[in-house]
Amino acid sequence: MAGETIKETVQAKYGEAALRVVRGQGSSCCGDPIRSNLYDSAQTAHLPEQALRASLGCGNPTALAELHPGEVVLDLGSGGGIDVLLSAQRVGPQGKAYGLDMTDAMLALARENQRRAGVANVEFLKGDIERIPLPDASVDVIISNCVINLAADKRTVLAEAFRVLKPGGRFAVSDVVVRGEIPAELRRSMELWVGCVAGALEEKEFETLLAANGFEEIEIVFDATSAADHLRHAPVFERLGKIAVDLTPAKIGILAVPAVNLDEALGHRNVNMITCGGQASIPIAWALGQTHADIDYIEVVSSIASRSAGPATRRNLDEYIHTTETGIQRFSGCRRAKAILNLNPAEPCINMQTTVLAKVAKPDVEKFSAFLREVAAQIRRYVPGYEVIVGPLLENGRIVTMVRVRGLGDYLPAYAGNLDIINCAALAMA
Amino acid sequence: MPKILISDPSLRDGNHAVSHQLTAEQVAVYCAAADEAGIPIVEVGHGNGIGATSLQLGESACPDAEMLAVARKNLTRSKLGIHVIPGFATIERDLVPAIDAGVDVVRVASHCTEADLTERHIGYSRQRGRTVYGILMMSHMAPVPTLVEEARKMQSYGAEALVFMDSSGHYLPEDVAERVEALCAGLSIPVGFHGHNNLGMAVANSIAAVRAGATILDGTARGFGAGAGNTQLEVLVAVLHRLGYETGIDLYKLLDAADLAEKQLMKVVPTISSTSIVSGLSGVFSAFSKPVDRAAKQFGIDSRDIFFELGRRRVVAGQEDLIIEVASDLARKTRGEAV
Repeated sequence: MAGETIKETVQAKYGEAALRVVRGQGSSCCGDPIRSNLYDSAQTAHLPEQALRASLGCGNPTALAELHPGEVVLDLGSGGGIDVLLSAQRVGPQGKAYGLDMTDAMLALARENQRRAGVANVEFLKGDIERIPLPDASVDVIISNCVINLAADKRTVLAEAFRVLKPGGRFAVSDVVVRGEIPAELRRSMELWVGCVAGALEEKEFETLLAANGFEEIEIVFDATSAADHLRHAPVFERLGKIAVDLTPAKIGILAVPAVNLDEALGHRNVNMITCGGQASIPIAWALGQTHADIDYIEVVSSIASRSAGPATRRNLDEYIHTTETGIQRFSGCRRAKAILNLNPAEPCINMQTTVLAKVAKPDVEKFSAFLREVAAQIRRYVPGYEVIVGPLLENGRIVTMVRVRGLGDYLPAYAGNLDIINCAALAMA
Repeated sequence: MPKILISDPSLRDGNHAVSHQLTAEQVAVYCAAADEAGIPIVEVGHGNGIGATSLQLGESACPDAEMLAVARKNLTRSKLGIHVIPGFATIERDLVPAIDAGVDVVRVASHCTEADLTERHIGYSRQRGRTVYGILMMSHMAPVPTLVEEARKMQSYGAEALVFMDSSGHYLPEDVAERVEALCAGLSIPVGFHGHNNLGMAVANSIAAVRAGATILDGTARGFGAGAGNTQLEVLVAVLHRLGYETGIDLYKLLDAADLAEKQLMKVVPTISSTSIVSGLSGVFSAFSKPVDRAAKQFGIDSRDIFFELGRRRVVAGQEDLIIEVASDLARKTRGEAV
């Protein structure tokens, strides 16, 4: 397909999408698997509704980008402007947020949204992402949300991105990549190109392109794919000298819980964050181990909202169980451990809840409670929503403790505390 | 008239009624009697399936391995079945040894909206050449189209039949007929029904199921099972025979097996208690009655209030820990404290 034809078609489709929003109809792109739950309501509460409805992205790159006050941010393919408006909030009045888009209708919509939101430190520019209308080394952070897959000449896009970024600048990309080959007929389908898939790069191609265009200095890699994938990725990270923070249950590297063994874990090149249930329960198991000499058995039962459990969690259930159990034993010294995971589909979504049941020789609930209070306070430094809600108490001869983990609700919905805890732990680790 | 395949989980679902304390000896005698009667599938294990022994759900008196060995020895014509819930049981730790021990039928179960959790367990069991069913639990908690969608997932993973459960004994016959029709229309594999008797409807529900196209039914001796008990097997088979359905089961020997079960397996024959009615109405998992009663006593709260609150919170099987929390909350509310 000729480059020009692609560009025209993309422009036409997205122009139409903008008009649909203005007319009050819904936007629709790809379905739920990619787009649901991207932006939290707290985040988007003060954005014009039309910005939200116009959002056709597939991720939340402002979440990825870590923006600081005073920085200059550029959003490639800014569309209805949601990511630019969010970025503007983060960089504050001393900073500036640019949006770049080639579609007139989208630009009109974005500028209208800017007017309604009443933000001054924002500017929407018309142009192509292959020819960014900004000077060299003028931007601190570039974000792009599901746009690169639409470009005909990706190499040039990345080269341009590199040009306008200041040395040490950051590039946060949320995009559709595919694993494996896309059949040739699909690649030729204009329908599927504008629908994001046909133009998407194969994962490795993307990485190669990034490297080829000068992006380097990735020091730490967070791997949240799946246990099986991490087994393949880990040797690659090692060869490239990158520190791997592994959020899958692959448990190749040292098991790490920041509140418990942060110091020990630093200095290791592969750090395994165990599991979300593990991050919630291991501090309790550890506290039990510190206050009791003889622990026969510890059982961890976690309940999470079905909506917070993605395909990887569901496929990795067995690994989750085994890895959590290993973590419990390692940190408590107990003889046997068991982990159970329940998915609850109730709406409104339940918060993550974890119960730890322990069979110990001489239960000392008071001593354990006091110690646990300290540990919980430590955890709240990186996971503010971590709360002991029942016990510790003695029920039927076992020590029972229940914790609830509410997420902060800034990047992910608050009920997905299980995701927050492992991600916050990973960040604390990093 | 079609042949109806009977699967008998007396030694699995029944285990709930005795807090999972069935012994190897009890397993042996019932298996022998069931085999003699020609019951096609006999299901054995902890109430929540293999690998479920735990503080949360109750510890079994007899380890899985021993139960399966004893059952295998005593079943020659009948097939040996197990219930497997991913999230409790893992392939490596629980399913592999079970299949190695000679299990014929693997029934992989999930909550009715979470079928994708069963993909790997179903796949592994098919790989090992076992007969594999997909099971949808607490099926009343999903709208019918969702139920069909989830069933189709299990079919796509390799399930050779789909059995949906009325885990809380909540259905009336028309509810069951509606679901069986929808499932039969949406699937190319046989459909089955597993009833519970909280509202006294289990046998009628099962008949409605076969009239609507189901060809697999679960039932237990004397209804031995959680709460108000399961569909009473010997009653069900008697009715099926009278209606002209074939089961391949010898009625007299089935009655003998039920008599034996009454004498040797259960402390009491299941009846529909007030608690069971409440759990059936509220749609809460039958096996919660014991822990609910315990928590009610411990916190000085009416167990019925606990059930309705659990129903309101839409708890699923395996969340017994929430019972303590709910009882604790209700107790604090009653004392006028802020919750």
